[in-house]
Order: sequence, then C-alpha cells, then structure tokens
Amino acid sequence: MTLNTISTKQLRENFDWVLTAMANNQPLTLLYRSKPLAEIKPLPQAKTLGRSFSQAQINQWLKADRLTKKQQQQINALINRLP
Amino acid sequence: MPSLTVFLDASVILAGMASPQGGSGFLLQAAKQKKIILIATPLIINEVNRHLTKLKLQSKQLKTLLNDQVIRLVKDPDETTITRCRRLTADPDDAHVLAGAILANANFLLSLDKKHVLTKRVKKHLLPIRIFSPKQFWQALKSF
Repeated sequence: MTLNTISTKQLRENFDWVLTAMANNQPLTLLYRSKPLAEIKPLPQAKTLGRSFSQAQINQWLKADRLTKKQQQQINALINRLP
Repeated sequence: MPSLTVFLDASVILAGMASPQGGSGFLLQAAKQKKIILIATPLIINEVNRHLTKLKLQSKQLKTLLNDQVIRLVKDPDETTITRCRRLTADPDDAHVLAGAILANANFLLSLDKKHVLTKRVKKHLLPIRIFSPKQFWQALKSF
C-alpha cells in the first residue's frame, strides 16, 4: 500500500484528509519540519458502525425543520392533492 | 401506487419522529397515506436507533415505522459505491448515504445536514437525484 504524507500544518487545517485516508484504509506519514515524525494508520478492527451526531447537531436539525402554521396547512393540502 | 421515491438521511428520520409537525414529520405522514415512498438502508436505521434516546424516543416507535412500511428498507450500499462517493463529501462517513440513494434509484435524497450532504458539490454529482431538505422538498413539490 502506498504511504502518503501529511504535514503538521495540513493535519491542523485539513483534518478531512486524515478521515478520508483512514476510511480508505490508507496509512499516512506525518511530517514535522519536512521529516517523517509518525505514522497514522486505521485500527485493524475498526468497523463502520455509522455516524455519531451531537445533541447540538440534532437540535439544529429540529430548528431547521420547523414550519409555520401556514406552511403546515399548505403541506397538508399538498399531501391531500397527491395521487 | 405512489411514484415519488424519497431516500431519507438519518437526520430526517430523527426529526420526523421527534416533531410530527415539522417538514420531516409531514414526510412520514404522506408515506403513511401511501402518497410517497420513503426508503432508507439498515445502516441509516441503525444510526437513527442509536440516537433515539437523545430525543427521548423509543426503539418501538422506529420499529412501527418499519413494520408498517412507512419507511422501507433497501440493501446497504456496497463498498465500491461508498468509496466512489467519499470524494464528494467533506466527511467520508456520510458517503454511505449518497451511495444508498444512488443504488436505490431514488428520485430525491432528503437530509438536514447542510455541511456535508446539502452542498453544491453533492447536488451536482448526484444528478438526476435531487437533494433537498424536507422544507425544500415540499416547496419543490408545489411546482409539480
């Protein structure tokens, strides 16, 4: 498997790269001052169990999903019109 | 027989169960009346199940939705399709949602995740599947 590298700056600013690499079972060599410092690799037993959502995230969804009375009436009417 | 097939992200199922009068709640209502078909994968249902307690909901409520076929299950996506979808979203953990919608041949993918799913990039690459929040979905349906 090819070893890709990531700098400490990239690690801080683009953590998504690490997530993507781990999800693809791709180890990364961490560089500090252009020299290899450590290897980041996915745990062998890591298994996809799905995402975890925080309470704040869920609350945000509920807020974004709210409807006014008028919108509720319009959607009710729309549902009734659907074949 | 309803013709609109709507693939649901976990966010929409959780919001719909917690708030029947929200945009997501009306989706469940429309599916109960057999006006639309709602689908999800076992992986998404598992995510929903693990977060029910955060909304003071119970597993039996989710089971009822599945038993009554308000939400129908389709197969979990294969690893190849998930891997292809990983480059589309900032969080690769969301890739299975996009892959599930593609393999289910859904007309719509609905999510409340603005950061990772409701993005221009995902919308562009998943065409002809249209990606909306539940509110946007109802708005779009008005014009049909």
